[in-house]
Amino acid sequence: MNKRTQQLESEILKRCQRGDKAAFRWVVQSYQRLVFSLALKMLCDEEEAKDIVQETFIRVWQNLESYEPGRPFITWLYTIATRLCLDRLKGMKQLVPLAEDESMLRQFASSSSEGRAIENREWVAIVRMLAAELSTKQRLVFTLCHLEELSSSEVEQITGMDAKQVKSNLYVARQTIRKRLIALGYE
Amino acid sequence: MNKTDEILERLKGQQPVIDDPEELTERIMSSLPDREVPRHDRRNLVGRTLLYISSIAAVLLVGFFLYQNRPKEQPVVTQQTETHKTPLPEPQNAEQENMPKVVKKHHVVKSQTSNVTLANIKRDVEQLHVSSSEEPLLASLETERDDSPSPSERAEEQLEEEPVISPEKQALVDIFLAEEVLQVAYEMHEQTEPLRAYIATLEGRELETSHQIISF
Repeated sequence: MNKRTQQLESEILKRCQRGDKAAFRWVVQSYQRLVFSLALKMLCDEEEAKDIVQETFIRVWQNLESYEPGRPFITWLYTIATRLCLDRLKGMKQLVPLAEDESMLRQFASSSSEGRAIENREWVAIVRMLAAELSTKQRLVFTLCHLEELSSSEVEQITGMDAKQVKSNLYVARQTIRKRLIALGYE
Repeated sequence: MNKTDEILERLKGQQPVIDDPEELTERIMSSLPDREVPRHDRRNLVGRTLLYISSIAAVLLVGFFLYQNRPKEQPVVTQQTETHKTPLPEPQNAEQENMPKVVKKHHVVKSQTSNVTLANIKRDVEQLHVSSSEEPLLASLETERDDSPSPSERAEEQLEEEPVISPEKQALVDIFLAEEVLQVAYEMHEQTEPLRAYIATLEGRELETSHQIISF
């Protein structure tokens, strides 16, 4: 995000803090897909992911005065969304891959076009196949670091883990997924 | 790159698409509760408002104070009187040195008649009336018509140098002044004959009967 965009965002957030709903609509439209992406990859359910998006922005709206302007907004947003996802996962059953999930993964792996957008049902199937044997923390770190491509320092701020914990969880998650893919026949 | 790493690389950075983003936005916006303006913001707003009001009030007070204490203008007549004061002529002989104060004051008054109002003339006449002189008033007035130029002549000379009022008006003023003096003299029970003659010369006519003059 360049400097001009940062200044614009800062001004919009100040208006939101003063109760400007029109300015907050801009925030929702700009960041709702990002939160949906995290929630879908964590929960593997579209409706649950939309609920998390709604709940996240309600929490943001209610706690805007606690937002520190010097801190990146996206990090703060991810933190709220992550905590809501972890709370929701506690109440959900453990992820169990379905029969159709493997065929979707093969279909994805065999497709040659790299720029093809992954559909939402493909995402659900792939994550259920690859993350079934990961712990919650490992799934979270793998999702934030690898799938969302956040930096290590950002992940530390969002999760509250230190650098060593992030690195360790990420390594274990990658190793587990590789073993899973190899077991499925992918070398 | 093996297949595993390829699959992992293809998963990087891709975000799922919301099938109906507008509907989700409206759903979110409609569920937002009303937010109250934070207390510290409200305090700042009130504080800033009070600051603006007090600043405006202070500016108005200073302006009002300055307006009240502005330097007041002097009346034009007083200024002109002061600027047109003429020094008393130096007496040429011993008799004139003994000229009473009332005459000297009369000289000053006569020389200034070109620029004074009737109110000032009356005031000067009152001064003449109050200040007591050793010699009778008429006798001292008579000395005006001796060798030395009369105050009216001096006033005329002055007017010639700096004419401010027309000769006609000057004459009227002289007449009025003399009549005032006559009135004062009458009140002091002095003989008025020489003065009436003086007034007659100013008016350019023969001396009238006394009752006609007294009756004015």
